[in-house]
Amino acid sequence: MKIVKLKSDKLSQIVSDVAQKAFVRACGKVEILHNSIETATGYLIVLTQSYKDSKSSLIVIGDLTTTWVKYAKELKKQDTKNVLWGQCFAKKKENGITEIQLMNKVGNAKLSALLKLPEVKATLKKAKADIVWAQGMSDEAAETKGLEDNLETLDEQDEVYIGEFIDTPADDTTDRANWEDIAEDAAHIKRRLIEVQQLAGEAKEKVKKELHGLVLAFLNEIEIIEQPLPPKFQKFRMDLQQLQLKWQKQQNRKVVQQLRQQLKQASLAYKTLQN
Amino acid sequence: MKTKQEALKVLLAVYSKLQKIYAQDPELQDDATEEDEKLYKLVGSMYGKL
Repeated sequence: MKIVKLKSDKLSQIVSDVAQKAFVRACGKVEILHNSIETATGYLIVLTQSYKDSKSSLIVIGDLTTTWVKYAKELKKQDTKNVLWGQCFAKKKENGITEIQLMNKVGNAKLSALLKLPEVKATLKKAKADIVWAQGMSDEAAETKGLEDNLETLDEQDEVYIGEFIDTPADDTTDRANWEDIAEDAAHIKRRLIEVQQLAGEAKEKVKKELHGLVLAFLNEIEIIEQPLPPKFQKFRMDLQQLQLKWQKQQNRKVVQQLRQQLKQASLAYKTLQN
Repeated sequence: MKTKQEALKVLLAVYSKLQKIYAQDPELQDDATEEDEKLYKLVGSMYGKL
């Protein structure tokens, strides 16, 4: 995470509120980007920092560039009990508070003293954050050997990027807008995912139906296929058909004879009545 | 059958049945006697006149 809103050499030209808002914004991201020892980022705490309007504390969260470390060293030379920097990471607690854990340190400023400051209390409340020492660390712990050099990992090019926000009025609408964009994108992706799931479900049903249709067609085809009978059964079937025809003919002959008889009787009756 | 009309009605009904069965199988006419054929033709001519 970069420190984009603040530049160390411009701190005396801005009001303390700007630095506090920058810290609040950083708190919203640090728990996402730096939530373990492996992904730790930098921090800088100054108990008394001169601003344009007042003297107040400074808390910076983010990768410390060479310029920031130089600035911290300078402050340390002036008063080692005023400054503290090192690396940190953050965890979101169950109550929603982002707990920023300071892992190591350079300088002798006391965290307990920082947390007693009214403006720090207010800022932490606004950021829904808390600052604590990581396990094994305390105000009394010795400075971490070699950390000062290790923190100077970024080159000068980064500092151009880091300083670009300093002249702009401080507000958190830009960051909020960015997070809103991300939330909107996430909602869009979720909607698309639901659509895709629905399409997959429909496709599955379609395939099921098609398969069902194919099976039915296959079965029907089997039904209409007539298996040729073996020769002896074919003869038997023909004989049977002939017998049926013969029997039908005999029945018809009987019927014809009866009708002829009826025709004679009706004819006689007609002639009798005619006479 | 008490009247001439009733007798004619029966005569024509029997003739109609015989005609249908002959149409289905003309061979059934083969064993008919001359008297049968004569009567069949006579009623047929009456059937045609009606």
